[in-house]
Amino acid sequence: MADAREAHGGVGTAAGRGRRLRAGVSSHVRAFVRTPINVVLLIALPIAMVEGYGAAMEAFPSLPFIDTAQMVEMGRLNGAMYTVAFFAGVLGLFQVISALQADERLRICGYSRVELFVSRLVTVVIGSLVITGVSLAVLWWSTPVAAPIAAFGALALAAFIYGLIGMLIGAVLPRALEGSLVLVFLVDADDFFSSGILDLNAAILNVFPLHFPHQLFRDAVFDGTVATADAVGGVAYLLVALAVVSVLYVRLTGDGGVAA
Amino acid sequence: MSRGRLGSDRLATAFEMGLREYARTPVLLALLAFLPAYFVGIFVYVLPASEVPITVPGAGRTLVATIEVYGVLLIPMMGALIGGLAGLFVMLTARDADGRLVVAGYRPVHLVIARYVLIAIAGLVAIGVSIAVLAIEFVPERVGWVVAASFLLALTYGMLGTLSGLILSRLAGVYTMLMLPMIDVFFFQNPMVEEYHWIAAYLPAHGVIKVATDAGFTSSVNLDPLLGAVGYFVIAALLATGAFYRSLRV
Amino acid sequence: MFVDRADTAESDGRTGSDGGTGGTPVLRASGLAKTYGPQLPIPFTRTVEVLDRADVEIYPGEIVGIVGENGSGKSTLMKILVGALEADAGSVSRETTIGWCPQEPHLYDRLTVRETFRLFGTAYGMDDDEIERVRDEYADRLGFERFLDYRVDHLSGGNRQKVNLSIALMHDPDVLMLDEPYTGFDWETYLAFWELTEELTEAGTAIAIISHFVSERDRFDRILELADGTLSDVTGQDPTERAGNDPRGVGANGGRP
Repeated sequence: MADAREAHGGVGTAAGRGRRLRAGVSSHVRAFVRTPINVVLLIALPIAMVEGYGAAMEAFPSLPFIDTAQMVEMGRLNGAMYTVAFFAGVLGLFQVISALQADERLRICGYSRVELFVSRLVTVVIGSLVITGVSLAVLWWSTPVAAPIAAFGALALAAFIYGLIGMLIGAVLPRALEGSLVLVFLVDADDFFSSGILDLNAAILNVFPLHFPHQLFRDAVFDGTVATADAVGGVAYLLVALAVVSVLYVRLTGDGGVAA
Repeated sequence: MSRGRLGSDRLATAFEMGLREYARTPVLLALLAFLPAYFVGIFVYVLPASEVPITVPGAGRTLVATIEVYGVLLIPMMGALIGGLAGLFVMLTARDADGRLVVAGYRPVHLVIARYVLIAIAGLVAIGVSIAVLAIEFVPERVGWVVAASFLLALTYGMLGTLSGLILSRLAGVYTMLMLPMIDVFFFQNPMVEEYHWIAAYLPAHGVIKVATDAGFTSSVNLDPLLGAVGYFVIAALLATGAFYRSLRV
Repeated sequence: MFVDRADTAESDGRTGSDGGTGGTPVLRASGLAKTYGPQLPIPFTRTVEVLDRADVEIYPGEIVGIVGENGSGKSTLMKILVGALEADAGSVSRETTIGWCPQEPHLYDRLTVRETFRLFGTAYGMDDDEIERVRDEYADRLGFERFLDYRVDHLSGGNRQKVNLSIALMHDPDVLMLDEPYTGFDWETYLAFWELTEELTEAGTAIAIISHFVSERDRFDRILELADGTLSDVTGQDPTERAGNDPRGVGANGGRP
């Protein structure tokens, strides 16, 4: 019996880890998809946000640093970015929160702490990729995108960064109300500062999560270019976020937390 | 079933218990004060010391400091964010226990009023903290009316939070509260625009921001737009309360 | 006047009309129907018909057991009877006070036990003195006096269930509806529970208990089985005679072969 289990991948074997990861991710995704409203959100949110922000910025008078014609497109671009970032952020937060309830049981059955974290992370990545695709498609419908692949990359970067931030908040503040409050306040400040309706250049704004992705996205959509400095900055931000979240998540969710 | 216990007794107890439930989470209370302080603080820090032309109701295009116009927008926005999330969570977190309490003899109205008062208090704290931090740079001309209008918006978004949680889901409710107040207050209702987008008139903050802008920069405030805002609130409250009642028994 | 429980094991089950405490039911429901699922024919969704013309009557002073397979609708039935859920069809008449102990302890997590009693006591319309007296009495009888100032979410499962049960009893209702009330009880509390119920039924309280453990059949005056959406009286039927039997006494096929 023990041999059969080893053959199928006991705890600690690579085959076992792979199977558990697949099982974990597919069950999280299934749980998400089986709530119809979530699937509706996946489509409705990008449309509402892209068009909403486009309309919102349309009424603004021409500003010295951005001409009127670009205002609507800028709005739509912002809408696409906010959709992916905030979808991923909330997804990350709630994945971690639901993990608290469910994963402890899985851990006792044989999942390791790291496996549980990775399965949640992969779920967030999958969700991020889907929302990025949908949002880019919605944007492209009404606005020409000069460099689609770079644009996809920039959007996905924003999603991944915020997905990690959501997970981090969930690990530190594993309660839905508190976590949502922090995420909402963080997100809205970031949203506004990167929107471009005010000409801002305080140094502290470079630290906000959307700073690099927004620049990259803008360049990719309007000019078809990729500024190396921004790309490096963005990826560095992502890697730092990944490192911080991994360490904190695994440490904070020890005994009595998500997974040991 | 009621053995001489007054409705007001039940209401008071329900409110007291609601307060105890939430006052027991120090992190939440800290966030309630800290988050608006952070948000307003960072705006005060980051916004350039420039001026922008805005439309002040009754006074036409006026040039004001950037921090002033955003200050006047921030107060209601903080109320809306806190109110919205409070509405989403405070009303909807204990529904099983609520159903049981109703079976035991509470009338839903007691629960509803007690909870709405909690939401209102949360909104007031957020507004108070915001004004205090903003005062570093700017104090609106008729502060009282800014506070009153902001409070109305906090309540309105509280109702919308409850409604979205009941009709959609908690997740969808969080997204709504994440996106809507920002785009409503800071974009569609922003007095920097010369002419409102047609959508602006249908959003919750329309009347409130008109009054807040008026009160922020002039000494005589035209309160007519508040009428529409109150109407908006009333409709939202009726819908939210109705949906809540239904959810207790379905 | 008070029916000796030992007799009921032999009899075919009381119909209630020869109940020692009178023939008018304290709780009566007829034609109850309930279906879960979207009301509109949305594709890829399932509707679950849980109750289909279920009738039930409960008489003063009796202990009724409600049994049935997992998922047969027992909790749903009870929720409808107490008024926590609306049936799609049928009617319930309850002109008496009811105490409901749901399967999950639907309590407010961050209130203490003391505060919970005060909250529900106010709901029932009890005076503060009464609330205190009853609270202390049940805390003593069921053994949770040590935990009166603990938050509900800091209690162990068994203690939470004790509080859950006490909340249902505290206002001395005429009808008690208990859904798996002794989950998590230690043996002493379990015995204390049955002592309590005996006192209550002696005083005329009617008790309906949803349970899987109906193996102690003498404790019950009647046993109703919920299957295929309706209730049937299976009092006196030996569970070992029924096909696909469950040693705990729950029938698998509703008595049919």
